[in-house]
Amino acid sequence: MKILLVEDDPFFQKFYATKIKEAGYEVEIAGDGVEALEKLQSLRPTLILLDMIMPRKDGFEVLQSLSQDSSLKDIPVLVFSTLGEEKDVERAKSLGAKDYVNKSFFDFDNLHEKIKSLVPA
Amino acid sequence: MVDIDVSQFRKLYLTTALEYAQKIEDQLKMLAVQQSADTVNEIFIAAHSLKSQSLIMGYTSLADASLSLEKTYRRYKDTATEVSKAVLEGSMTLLAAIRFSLKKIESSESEANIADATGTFKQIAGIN
Repeated sequence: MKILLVEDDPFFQKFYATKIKEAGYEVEIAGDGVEALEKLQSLRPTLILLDMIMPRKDGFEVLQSLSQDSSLKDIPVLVFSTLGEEKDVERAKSLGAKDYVNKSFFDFDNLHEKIKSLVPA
Repeated sequence: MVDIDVSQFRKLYLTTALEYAQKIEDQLKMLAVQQSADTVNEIFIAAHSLKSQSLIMGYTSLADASLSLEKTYRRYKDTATEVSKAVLEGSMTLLAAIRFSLKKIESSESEANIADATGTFKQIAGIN
């Protein structure tokens, strides 16, 4: 299973890529929304893990673009949230995100359960 | 708080956190000369990233300080208003506390308690 991790922060790129790979998933990284959409022209990940606050194109803009592309709109998206961003999660869900994970309180069991719930075995 | 071994990420955290602190300082200096929505956005994103990283590393005092900056500059971003001189100066002071705490982590692996500095900034910025 391949996960596209869309995250501009090098720390979180390494942190989440390490943890996701340890669990046996393949990871592809995009450093912002523009790069993510470029990669999605040829890459078909099983799931997208999407940060919301990024330079260039943010997570909301990515969700908007995904929803308008018939070849991409069915790829499940999990968004990252952190403290004080509950409204952002609601907005993300209204734009097509399936669920969210709390980026700063790492709970891999929770992440793993959410991935499994969104991606059929 | 995260119950995982984050020690393997400490060096990367320090590198990126110091970069964010520098970025915030540079952008604050630019704002002092000319107000700009893009500059405000850069500060907001950097503060947001610093907060998120600090939380996952368990540095809650740093995270709270960064969250204060994030909230403040998000408000400026959303309302498209000018950043006051008092807030700019307050941001620089808080940033100095953040840098002090990062230096402490470098030497001792534990953060400094900068709650007072954060509290002062929150008052200046009018946030809670």
